[in-house]
Parts: sequence; C-alpha cells; structure tokens
Amino acid sequence: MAGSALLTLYRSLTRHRLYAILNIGGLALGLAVFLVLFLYVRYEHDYDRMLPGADRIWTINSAYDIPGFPAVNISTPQAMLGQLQADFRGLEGARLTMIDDATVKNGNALTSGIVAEVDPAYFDFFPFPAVAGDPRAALARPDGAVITQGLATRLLGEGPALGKTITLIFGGAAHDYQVAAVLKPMPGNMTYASPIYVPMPAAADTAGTPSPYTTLFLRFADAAAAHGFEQHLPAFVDRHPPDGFSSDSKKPSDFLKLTLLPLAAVHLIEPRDRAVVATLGLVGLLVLLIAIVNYVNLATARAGLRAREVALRKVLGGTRASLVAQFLVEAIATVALAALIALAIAELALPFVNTIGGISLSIDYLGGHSILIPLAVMILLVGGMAGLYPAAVLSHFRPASVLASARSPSGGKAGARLRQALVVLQFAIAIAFMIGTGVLVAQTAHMRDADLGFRRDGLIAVSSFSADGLDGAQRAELVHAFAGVPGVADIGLSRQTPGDGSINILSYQNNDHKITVQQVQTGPGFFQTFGAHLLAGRLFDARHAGDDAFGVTPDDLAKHPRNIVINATAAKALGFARPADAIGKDAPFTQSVHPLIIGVIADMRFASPREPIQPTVYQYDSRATDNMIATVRTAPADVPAVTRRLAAVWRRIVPEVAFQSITINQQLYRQFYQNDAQRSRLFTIGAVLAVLIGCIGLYGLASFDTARRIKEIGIRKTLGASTRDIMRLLIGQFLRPVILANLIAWPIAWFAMRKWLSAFDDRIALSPLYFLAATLIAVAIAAATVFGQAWRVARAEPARALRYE
Amino acid sequence: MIHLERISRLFRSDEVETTALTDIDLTVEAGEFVAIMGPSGCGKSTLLNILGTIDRPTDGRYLFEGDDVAKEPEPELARLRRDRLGFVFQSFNLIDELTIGENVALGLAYRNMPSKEKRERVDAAMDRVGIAHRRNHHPHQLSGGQQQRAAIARAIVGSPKLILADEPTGNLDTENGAQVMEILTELNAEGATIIMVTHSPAHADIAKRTVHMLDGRILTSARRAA
Repeated sequence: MAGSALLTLYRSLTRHRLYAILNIGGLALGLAVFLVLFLYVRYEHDYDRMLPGADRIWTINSAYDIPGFPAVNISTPQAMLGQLQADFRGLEGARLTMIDDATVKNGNALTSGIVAEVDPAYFDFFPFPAVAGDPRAALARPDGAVITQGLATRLLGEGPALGKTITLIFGGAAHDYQVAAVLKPMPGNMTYASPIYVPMPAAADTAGTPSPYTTLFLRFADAAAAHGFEQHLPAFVDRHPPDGFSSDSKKPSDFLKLTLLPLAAVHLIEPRDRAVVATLGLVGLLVLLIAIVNYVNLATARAGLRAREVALRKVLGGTRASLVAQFLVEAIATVALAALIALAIAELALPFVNTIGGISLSIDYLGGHSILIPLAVMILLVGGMAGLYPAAVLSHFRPASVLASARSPSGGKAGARLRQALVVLQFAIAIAFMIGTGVLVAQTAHMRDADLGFRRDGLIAVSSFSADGLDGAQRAELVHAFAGVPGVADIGLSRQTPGDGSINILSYQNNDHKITVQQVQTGPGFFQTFGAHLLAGRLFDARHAGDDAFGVTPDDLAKHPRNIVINATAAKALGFARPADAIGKDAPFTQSVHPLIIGVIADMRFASPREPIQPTVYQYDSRATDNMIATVRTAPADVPAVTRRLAAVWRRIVPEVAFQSITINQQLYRQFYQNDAQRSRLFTIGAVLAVLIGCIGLYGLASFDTARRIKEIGIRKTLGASTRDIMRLLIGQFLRPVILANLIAWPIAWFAMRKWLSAFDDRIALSPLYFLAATLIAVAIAAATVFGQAWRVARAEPARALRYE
Repeated sequence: MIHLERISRLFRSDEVETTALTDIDLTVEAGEFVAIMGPSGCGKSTLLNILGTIDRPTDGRYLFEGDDVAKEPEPELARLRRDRLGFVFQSFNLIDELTIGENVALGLAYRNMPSKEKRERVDAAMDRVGIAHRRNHHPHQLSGGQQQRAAIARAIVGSPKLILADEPTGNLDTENGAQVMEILTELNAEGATIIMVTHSPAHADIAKRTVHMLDGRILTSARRAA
C-alpha cells in the first residue's frame, strides 16, 4: 500500500511541477528556518551544559544591594574560596580569573589576548578533552600552561606543542610558561572558556583586594545540597565582612548578598536574553506553521484533482482508513523530501547566519547532538499535522457522486473558508513579523545614531593605557607623544569610557533623603576630547588648586573635598531648578562631605541605552593615574591612520606591552548594541522568509483557485465584464484575507513591540508608520504574487473558458 | 443587424490544426429568430461564440450594426456584450457560489445603473420567467428547467438586442423545453433578435429561419413560409 502511495506521489509531483515546486519548496524553506532557529535555541539553551557533570556546578554570585540602584553584581574576592573551605569542610571549589588584557609574546610579535588563571581543580569541574598532556597535572606545576589546539597551531606552528615555552605579559610582568597540555577545540557556547589557562598564583589566596573577573565554582551532589548550603551564606558574610565595611546599624549581609547560581543558568540569567531566545524559537515555530498551512491549503485546494483517484480506489475496495493512511504516507514522504532539501539549505545558510548572528551553530549528524533524531521526529510530526486534514477531506469523497459528476469537488464552501482563514493566519504572522522587524531595525539604528551628549565618531580609546606594565613616567610620555601625533585633535584621560562597562557608584545619605550617583574620574583633556556641553559654571582647570585631587590623602579629601562638575540629571536630583543655580553651591552628599559644584554639563550617556541616565559626578586628577584610559579625538575618516601612528608611538615608548585600542563606536557597539543588532538581523531574516513562504502559499492557492474559476470568469466576461473588472474581482478576493490579517497582526505587534521598547530608556516612538508600512508591503507583495495568475485568466477568450471543465 | 463575410476559424494546438468554420457568410436582420442546426462538431457553437464576440474569427469580417467587431479591442467587445447581447447556454452556466438572485443580477453587474433600478430589473426578469420564488436558492437546489429559466432571466435582464442561445433546451425534458421555447418566442415577439443553436427539429420549426451547417460550412438557409 505504501508503495502504491509513494508511486502516486511521485507521479503527482512529476506531473504537476508547479505544485511540486511550490509545495516542497515552501515546506523546505519553512523547515530550514525552523531547523536553524532550533539549532540556535538549542545552542543558547545548552550553554555551559555540554560537559559531563555541568549540572552539579554552581557559581557564587556576589551582589551589592544599594538602595535606589538595581543590584550590582561584583566580582568575588579570590580569597573567598579559602575562607569557604575553612568554614565548610569538604566543600569542592575552583576559581577562574579572566585576564582579558594580557599580552601574548610570540618571538617579537605581540598580540593581546585572554588568559585565565585557574586552580588545578578547575579541570575537574570542566573536563575538557585534551589532545596531548593532562590538563589537571599541567597546572600542578607553577609554570605549566594549558592551551587550545587552535592557539597552539597559531603560536607554535603545526608540530607538537608540549614542552614549548610561551611568554605572557600581564599583572605588570612577563611570565614564561611551558605548554603542558593541549585541549581539543571547545564548543562556542561556553561562558568560562579561554584559549590559555595558567595556574592561579598562590599569593592570590591571601590578597584581600577583589580582583576583577574572578569566578568561584562550587560543586554539590544535587540542587537540594546547594540550596542547603546557600542558607549558610549570610552568616558567612557576617563572619568575613568585605574590606572596608563599616556600619553601625547594618550587618555586612544586609549589603553584600551571596547567592548560588547553577552554571547552566549563568548564560541566560537576564530575562531579556531569555525572552530573545524564546522569541526566536517562536519565530521558527510560526514560520514552520506558515509552511504547514501552505501544504494544507494546496493539498485541499487540489483535492478536486485527486477526487477521481479516490473514487476509483474506493470502488476497487479501498477503505477510508486505507485512504487516510495513503494520504498521510504521502504527506510524510513529502515532508521528508522537503526536510532533506531544508537540511541542505540550512548547511548552506549556517556560515552566513553564524557571521551575522555572532554565533557558531553547526549541524551534527552523529553523536549525542545528532540532528537525525530531532529531524525524524519533526518529519513525522509535521507530516502528520500537514497530512491529517487533507487526508480527512480527500478520503471523504463519495465515489458515485464523484464519478457521475462532470464537476470536480473542491472541498466545498467550508474548505474554501478554512483556506481563507489559514491565509489570514499566515499573513497575520508575517505582517506582525514585519512590524516587529521594522521597529527592531529602527530602534537599533536609533541607538547607533542617537545623540549621546558627545560626538561618538572619531574617538579612539587606548585601552592598554591602563595595563599593568606601564609606569607613571611612561604614561606621561605617552600622553605628550600622542598629543603630537598628526591627526590627533585632543587627548583626554578618564577612568570610565563610554561602553567599557565600568561603573563607580557612590551612595550618599543627605539628612533625610538618599542620593546615589555615578562617579567618573577624569584627567586632563577629558571634557574637551568628548566635547562635553557646558550648561553653567566652568570645567576643571589645573590652575585651580581646589579642583585637583592629585596628591591629596583620603583623610584630607574627607575634610576638604575637591570641586566637582555634575551633569544636568544630578543638578535636578539635588533640587536645583536651573543648572546655573547649582554653581558655587555645596553638594551636601553627607554631613561631612560637601564638595563645591563648579560646573554643570549636559548629560553624556556612557551607559546602556536601556538604562536611564544616572546623576553623575565628575572628579578631577591632574596626573595620569594607573587606571585611567587615554581617549583620542580625531576626524572619523582618519581613525585607521591615526590608530597606526598611535601604535607606532606606543611601541617606541612601551615596547614590552601590546598596544590595544578600540574606537568608542566599536566599544559601544560591542557592549550595548551588538546583541540587539545581531538579533534584529536574525529576526529580519525570519520575517523576510515568513513573508516569502506565505507568498509561495498564496501563489499556489491563487493558481489553483483561478484555474478552478476559469469557467466562472468566462461567464462573467460573456456577461460583459472587462479584463479590468475581472482583475479587480480576483485580486480583491485574494487580498481580502491579507487585509483582514492586519486586524490580528496590528494589536499583537503593538503589544509585543511596546513591551520590547519599554526596556529602553532611550527609545523611538511606536509610530503608526511601522504598521502602515508593513501592511502596504504585505498587500503589495501579495498583489504582485496573484497578479500574474489573475492577468492570465482575466485575458483568456471567454469561449475557451466556457469549454473548460 | 449582423453581417458575416467569409468568416473562418482555425483551432491550433501543438500539432493539430482543426478547421471549425470555413467561409461563413450570413446576414441576420433585426427581429429575426434564427435556428442553427447540424450534426455535432459542425461548428454551430463556434459560430455562435463568434457571433457573441466571446471568440474571434481567424479570418473574415463581422459587422454588428455596421461596426466591424472582428477587429475591435477587448474592452469594446466587453461593452458590446454588456449592453447589447444576452447569452443562454445548454449547460446553464450559473455560478454555483451565487444564489439565483445574484446570478441574475450578474447580468447587470458591470453596468453603471442605480442599484434601485438594478433591483427592479432583476425582479422583473425573474417574474417574467417564473422563478422569483427561488431567488435565495443556489443553482444546484433547482431543477434543470428552473436553472435554464434563471439563465434566461440573466440573459434578458439587461434588455439585449440580440439573444444567443446555445442548445437552450438540450439538457431539458420536453415540458421544460417547451416552456423555454415559449419564453424565447415571446421575447422575439417583443422585438429581440434571437439566434439559437438546436438539435431539435421541432424547436427549429418555431424559429422563422433555419440555417443548416455541415463541416464548418453553411449548407442551406431556409425561411419558414409565413
């Protein structure tokens, strides 16, 4: 029976080529979109879950709970593991410190790179398979390094890497390491992966200062054990208060909250990120739904062509069940064929998708992540869903009436209504996607172009300026030399730069009300370089002794605070109606600390466009301190040339440290816009394909429906309808469901996009233009799709149409 | 009213060329009732289709009220059909999706006319053929005779000068056939010109003139003795 069904399918596909192309092509495209997005969702969901035992690892999350601010996650002190293990016997733990501004020396060439300092136990927690050597044993020796195969090839060539020496510069010194293990290539979806691992220095155990990017991993038997452990953490914080903590009324655990986070939850900890993954997964499902609708519509629309076959099979003794089975086998075989093509499309599309989405998806055919099993399940499910309704309609035909009648049944009025409803559904989805895409792209463009309060083009941040290997004299010399580089208009120093992710929050208690501000440490040239817009008062000046914090001891600073410049938001927060009112006033941050406000500048947005601009206080230190970054202003077109010249100057003055720079635009993009931009591109592709697949279905439907109505059109023409009348009739009828779809799409898109935009402080208005534009595009595309079909039949000689049966 | 000169019609498919009509000369005066007879495949329906401008001759001249319509562009022909012609087919050609009332109204659908007047004319046409009570039914709910009367109502709702009927009684029993012929005779008496293809000698006798065709040519054209 299945053989006969497949033979009929083959004949039907080869005889009706257009139908086959539309049906299988549309399905394949829908399945390909679904497959890629399925891989994407699985990739995101599998983050950090790939290695055996990952489900037993938790990380410690340290957060400061500051009133008036969202909880601020901070890095965990390296010493905490020792304290924990002393307090809780038998606790398994490992640490990882990411050093992302290290320099890797290879002969005379310097490259900047990421190095991870880890405990040997790290490789118990993360058992990366090794090509050579034993990673755990490698880190037992103080000069052992574990590197990935890719890096080994790049640094040391194709030969065996074990035992070779690599030189890393970080923490202000050069270190030689022997390569003691080489790791197999790692999956891309690992939060805590690094190309180079070196042992964590023992000194870190005792150093009390929190070093950045330290992550603490703990291992528990199960979630209950972890939860039980978590209950002891507040008491632990009170026993080991953070450095410098002093409060009469509060306990340390009131401020510093330690929580356990399952490793698998780290990557998608932000609700926003989870929402994005869920949305893209939904896009995949909906695009697949559109493709399934196409199949159902085309199959039932064509039912008439199959009616005689059904009738004959019934006459020859076929039961309804056997016919349902036949049509289901047909549907599943069609879906299987489409799935093979989809697999090929997905393979071809993945490099492109990976590039624009900033991800590394791949299709595995063997092993635990084999695509074959999900694919088989999908073929059966989609085939069953797509085939069931047409099978029910087709197997229902009564043989006598079909064989006796000259006319072929078309599934009846109910069938036609259902097809219309399904087209409405398809286009509602597609139009909602288009609106969403429009808003997404517009918001992304807005973030890229919005006025941040400073000119973002032509700013180069020399981030290696704050590297450990430089001393004060070198920094001073660099600033001087940079200023003389042709093309450099200004150079400014600051501890924070836009999009570098660093914030410095101070919370002040002012009698009855509390004010929390961001602090930006500035050096010479900062305001000029960024082009800050002064609203009132003056900017810092080295000639005013009261401005400069250089050389002032903390005690002295508490008694005689330095002058400050504030932003407009801070002026408002402090209660000044106009910026000018703030000049010369004390900023009464605490009972004792009252710095003098000398200037108010317009708000400059250094933080994410999602967050409101915070009250900001600018302080000044005339000497380049060790954690400041130099930012250079140049003409946007000169950025590459000036960067090359800066690097040359750098190599002359600090040859032992790699030069590292980034334009502020790039830094903002990576920190704030990249994810949105990449996701909006994925979403755009999904939307375009959704519309395309919907149109494939509409085209197929139009071609079969017009064929079915040729006679009616002949009658109408005989009665005096002109070609134009017929065109209007046909296109109008095909567009009705498309126009109707807007009624569903608009409210859904409006709610969804309003919610999405509400996450941005700096956002575009949800203009009706996006909705109108999406509608117009959908209607225009749909009209163009059916135009050819309508034109063909509308122009035909009526006599020919009337002969048509 | 109608003057055909050396009309011929070839049908070409990929390999075969079929001659349906050869050198047809025919004149029909206003007010005539002409029956066309002949065996199946002799070109009767093709001739009728060309007369109705729903098919174009391959060659020859077709003058309708003095205008050479063989060369007219399609929109002109659509206007001609809309304003001056009415069609009745053997297989009725009613649209299944529309009710009888809507099918009849289709005869006026492409005219500019106040909708009140349209309604009145549709009502009058349906009364005239006796199917007003079936207004809200669909074609498949009606008998063949009722369907054909609905088709005639659709043909006459626009008060055409020429009614073209292609075997209007071919699918009907004797009684229904007689009713249809009665209506056609009345219409002719009221001034409409009628050209009818038929296989029935009895019905051909009702017409004032009978044209006999064979293999795409006109054999004889005989007027009934008054």
